[in-house]
Amino acid sequence: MKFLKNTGYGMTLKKAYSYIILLLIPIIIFCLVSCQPQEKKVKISFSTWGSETEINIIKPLIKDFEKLHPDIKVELIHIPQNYFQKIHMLVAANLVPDVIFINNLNLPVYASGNIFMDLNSYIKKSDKLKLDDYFPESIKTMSYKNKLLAIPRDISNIVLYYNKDLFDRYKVNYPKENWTQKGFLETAKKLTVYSNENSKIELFGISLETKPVYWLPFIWSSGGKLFNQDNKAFCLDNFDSCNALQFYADLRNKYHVAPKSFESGNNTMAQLFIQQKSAMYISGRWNVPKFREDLKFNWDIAQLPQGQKGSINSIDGSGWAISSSTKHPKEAWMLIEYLASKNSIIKFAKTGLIVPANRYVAYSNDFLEVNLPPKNSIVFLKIIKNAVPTPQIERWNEVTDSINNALEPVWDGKSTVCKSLKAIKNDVNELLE
Amino acid sequence: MNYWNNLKYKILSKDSFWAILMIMPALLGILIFTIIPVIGSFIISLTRWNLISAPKFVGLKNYTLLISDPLFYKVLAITSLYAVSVVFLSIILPLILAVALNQKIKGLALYRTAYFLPVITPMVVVAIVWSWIFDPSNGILNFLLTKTGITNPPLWLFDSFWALIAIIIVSVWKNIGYYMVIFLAGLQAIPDSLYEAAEIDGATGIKKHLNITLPLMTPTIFFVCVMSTISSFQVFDLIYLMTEGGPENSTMVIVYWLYKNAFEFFKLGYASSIAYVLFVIILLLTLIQWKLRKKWVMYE
Repeated sequence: MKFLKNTGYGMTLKKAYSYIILLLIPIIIFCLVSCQPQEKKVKISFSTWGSETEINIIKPLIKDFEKLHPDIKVELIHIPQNYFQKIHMLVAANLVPDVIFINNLNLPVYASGNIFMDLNSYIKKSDKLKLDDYFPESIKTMSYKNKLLAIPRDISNIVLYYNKDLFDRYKVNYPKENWTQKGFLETAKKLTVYSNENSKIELFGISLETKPVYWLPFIWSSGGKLFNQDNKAFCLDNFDSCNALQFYADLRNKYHVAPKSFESGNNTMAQLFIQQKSAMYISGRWNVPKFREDLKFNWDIAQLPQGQKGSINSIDGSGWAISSSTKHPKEAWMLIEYLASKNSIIKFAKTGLIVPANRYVAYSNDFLEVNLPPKNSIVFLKIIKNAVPTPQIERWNEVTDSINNALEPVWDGKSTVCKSLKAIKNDVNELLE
Repeated sequence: MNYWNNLKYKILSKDSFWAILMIMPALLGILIFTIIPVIGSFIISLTRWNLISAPKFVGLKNYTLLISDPLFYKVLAITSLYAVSVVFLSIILPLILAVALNQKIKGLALYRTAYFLPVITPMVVVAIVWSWIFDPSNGILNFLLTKTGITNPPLWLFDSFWALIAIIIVSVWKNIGYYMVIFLAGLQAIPDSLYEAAEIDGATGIKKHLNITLPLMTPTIFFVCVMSTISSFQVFDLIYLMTEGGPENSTMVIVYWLYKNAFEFFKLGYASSIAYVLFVIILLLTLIQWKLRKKWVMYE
């Protein structure tokens, strides 16, 4: 206050000028900075999930893309956990990223809200990506009601991982291409080993997951269905489906060749396989990078055993979509073209993480390379042909939650599949309406 | 008119103006992060909304659906069972501990620290370590139980009967230290002269506690009772980390159920109506406790 008073009326003119100049300097600097010709960079955002290995591929790809297109800046939004919760929030907040990584199971919800663009016209005009490059089945997984909503990156399906060393030790034949469920059960029985001291199971023939993704191939293989033709009625309680699922559950309870939930405890089913506490494990391609690193034994993959209708697998997939509210559809498409290009997909494939949706990459040595396990990677591609795409319904989360809840007592041997599924039929039918 | 003038004067008069300005940051925080969302959530509870498509006004339908949902009553029963057990144990055990640790014993600071450690341990760590302890085949708890001759120890988190009990054990263990400290503060406020007078009258150990400690501790017990009731109706993290509501929905407490509806099924309207019902339940319980306190809480 004292200072202000001193600069008041008693101030000389010279002094006043110097103050004005002092005041002007920051204003001029500010002007010089802000009046600089602004760089016209287009900023697009890109959201993805993924482990560290995946991000380590994506980040350099984005850098290369930015180098190629100096006028585009890509903001990577990495959401490793609860991905779709976050995307839902971003949609509600009107902040949908321009490019969104998505899987087929969550596609219908977003499609019904018209969140994604139809990419059919884009891919037809594109000179970099062609529809023909992809497995037609994978294009189906990324489409909903005749709209192509995402450019597929990968296909997921389910195979059988097996520990060759344990097969050798117990003199059991490796799984053959056309083996049946009966042969599968015999194999699992031979590989279930009890300890001498307390008759506890030391080695399980197989470890089984309980989520639908893992047992749906068993349903398809025996001619069962999840829903009816137009996904409006629940059919998992029909005779064939029930029998197939009962066989899957019996592996735990009746035959006890697979661990029950309390026997695995805090170990995941994959961990049991890694620790050689189970000789076989049913899962998808995404385990390969971890298995290559962690498995201290010889291993390979085989196709799932045949049911009455053969060995019919599921097919799921993920890919890149463009937000329908994006302000830069052209740039977003350019990013997708880059991410989905053969060179980029090769990088993804080399880590072992994915089954490429691009069939030229899939049938190349980059995917099938024989130096690294699994030797039999071709199985992932062979089973695509007859595969049944997982039904696309809007309320998938609720339906699977209902099924999972109903099956919980079944996995513990307290109820039968048929009885449990009949009880939820009406509830699920309501969800399908 | 006069009233308004008075108010205007009060607000503009220098002191209160500055006072309001100073508490504004905190007040704004409450307004933006509490009051507006609370109102917003009520509005959402009257709609059907999945975050993706535009919300649709449905009136009180979410509430009628909730009342006719059999799972709602199961969830309420589980939550109440959990709350009653946790509140009961969170009063009895810490009170006994506090009395014990209020004596002059060797290593007092060590004991107090030991019991307080779980309080400052992050819940994630607690949950992971306890699920290892509870592991039916590899866990230390069942190892010890089989050593003591129990042939079929419980499956804990994998059994629909024992899972809730396991959760109760962990959450009581976690908060024992916190309530113990509150009780210790209460105990130290009791004047020694009362005990001396009782001793002169010939009262012995347990009698002193029943007739002096307990009555004088009732205000503290009341506080702990109210606080633990509220917090146990809101339990979420332990369930999320240890059981996800399973097995067979046996640990599906109300807040986890709400979360599941909101962020797994994206039924925001339904979830908001659950939140409001929970709010009413907690409000009623607290009011009842407040009314009943005159019957048993002693004030000097």
